[in-house]
Amino acid sequence: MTAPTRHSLLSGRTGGRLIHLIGITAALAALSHVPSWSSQPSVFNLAGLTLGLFAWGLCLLLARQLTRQQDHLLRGLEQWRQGDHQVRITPDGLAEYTLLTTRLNDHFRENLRRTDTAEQATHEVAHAAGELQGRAGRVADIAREQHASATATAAAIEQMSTSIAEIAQQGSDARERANIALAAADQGTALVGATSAGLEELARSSDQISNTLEQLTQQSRAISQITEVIKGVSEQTNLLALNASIEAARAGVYGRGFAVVADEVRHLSHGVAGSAADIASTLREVSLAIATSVEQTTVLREQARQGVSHAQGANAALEDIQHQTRQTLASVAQIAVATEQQGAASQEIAQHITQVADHARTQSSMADDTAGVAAHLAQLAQRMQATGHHAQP
Amino acid sequence: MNDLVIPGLILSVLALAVMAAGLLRSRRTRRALRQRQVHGIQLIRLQKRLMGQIQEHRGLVSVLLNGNPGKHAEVVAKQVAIQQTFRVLKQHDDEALATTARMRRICDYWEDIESQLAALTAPESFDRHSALIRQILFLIGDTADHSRLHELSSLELPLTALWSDLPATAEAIGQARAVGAGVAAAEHCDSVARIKLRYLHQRVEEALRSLEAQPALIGAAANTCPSKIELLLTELEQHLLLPSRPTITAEHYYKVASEAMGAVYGVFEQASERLEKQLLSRAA
Repeated sequence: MTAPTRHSLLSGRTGGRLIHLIGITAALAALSHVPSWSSQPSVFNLAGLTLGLFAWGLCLLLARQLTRQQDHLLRGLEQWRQGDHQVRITPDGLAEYTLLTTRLNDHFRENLRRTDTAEQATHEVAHAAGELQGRAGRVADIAREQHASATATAAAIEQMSTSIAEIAQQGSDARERANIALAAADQGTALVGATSAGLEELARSSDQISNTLEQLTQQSRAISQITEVIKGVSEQTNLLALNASIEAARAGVYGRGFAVVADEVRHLSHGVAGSAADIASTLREVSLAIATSVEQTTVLREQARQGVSHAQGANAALEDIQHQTRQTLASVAQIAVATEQQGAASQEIAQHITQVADHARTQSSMADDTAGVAAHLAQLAQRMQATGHHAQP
Repeated sequence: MNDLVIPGLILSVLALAVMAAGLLRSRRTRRALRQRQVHGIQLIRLQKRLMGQIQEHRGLVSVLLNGNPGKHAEVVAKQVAIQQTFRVLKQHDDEALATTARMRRICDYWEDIESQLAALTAPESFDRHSALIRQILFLIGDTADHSRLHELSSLELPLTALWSDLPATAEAIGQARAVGAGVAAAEHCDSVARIKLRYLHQRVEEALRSLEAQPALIGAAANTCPSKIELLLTELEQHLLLPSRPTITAEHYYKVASEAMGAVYGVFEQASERLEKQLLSRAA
């Protein structure tokens, strides 16, 4: 507490009372002259009275001014205490009071600005808390969705691992069947090769038969020519026999024996002609048969050749099957290797997914905690807002 | 008895002289107060002009720093105008108003911005301009207090709203304009921008309700000023805050915000002109 100064003696109600007291004293001093007026008032009496009254008036005014200034100050401070932070005290009176009033007003103004700044900051914190709360809630929702997705993915990965194992087993089965198919294809190739050789042999035999038939045909023609000769001879013989018969008839009795011979010769020639005709007919049938055989042999040869061609085609197809089967075996082997690798990778992925799901669960829990903290922050901010509205200095 | 007449007369004349001197002094004091108040209002209007120029400079620099070098000439022209306003303010600055220290601080803030403009990022420029404008708002309050404008309680105008609430409302709209235009241009509103816009929306809305409760302050602009502010609040909420992405162009939003700010400044100019005329008529 500071020592009272000269000016502080004039301040406050004490100062006002003191001044008032001085004024009263001056007035009483002035009135003390009154009894002496009963006889004859002098100039000094009058001057004293006037000055006394004048001094009392001045002191009264000064006291009232001091009191009024103090009342202004007290009223302003009381208003500030009750929460009117926009109060301003009117400077009125002594210079010291004016300075004090100005400083108080400056203090009120700066204090109000600080309060406003704090209130604005509080408002903005409230909005930030609200935004944080919303975001935290959203993070929590996303984390829950993430956890659900991770769990579903882990289950899907597990199913995929099972499928991969089945694929690996089927790949192994396919490899075995491919091996069997390859063996069968090899066997088929061998059989086709043998068949092709047989057909080629058959084609060669058909050629030979065809050549033989050709020879028979030529021989038949030769026999036919001979038969024609024989037929001609027979006809000539028949004519001769006829002539002989005629001559024998002419010869009368002497020609009877010749006529008989001639008849016999004619009968022989008829027989030869008939035999020649039979031979010709037989030759014709043989030729027909030979021609048919030649045709059939040609057809057979053609069919043999086609068979050879088909066998060659089948052989080529079988070779292609072998080639494809070998390639399939190679692919199946690669698939088996890839499947094994994929199976290992999917197991690893499943482990990671499980870890992600665990992390997501943890994150969801932390996000829920953050949302709780943000909600609490929002409540604190609202409380600060309410406090700021009713701030007491 | 006759000896007492002359001294009595002298004493009476002395008493009357003292009373007359007291009355004259009181009248002179009242006149000085009125002049101080008029001077204070004139200073406040100059300070408000400076604030408006700084706000425009803030917007131009934001566009410049966001990659539009075509605005450089406008920025330089605005800086020249601001410096002219500073000169006028310094000429009118009154030691008695005790605002010199704050004025010096404001000049330092401005020189700092002017000298480092090329090296600032857009957010840094916004923050520094906003801090400077905040100091100008404080300067307006200091000038009003030191001019003892709060003693004008007999006039029908709500004076605290005139030099405190209206400029602060204009600045809140200015910040909403800058932040919102940036969000609309980027077609994305991040959390920080959303927080700022929600807060500014709340401030402007509270200011609007306060304005609507003071028809004497709004005066002739009662039909236009609140509606323009209401439109800004609606556009801000419907097109920037509620949708997941902004659904308004930067140009349209800037125009709406500028009209709202202009309406608030219009109310300020009309009210301060009215007040000045009343004071001048009383001082006469």
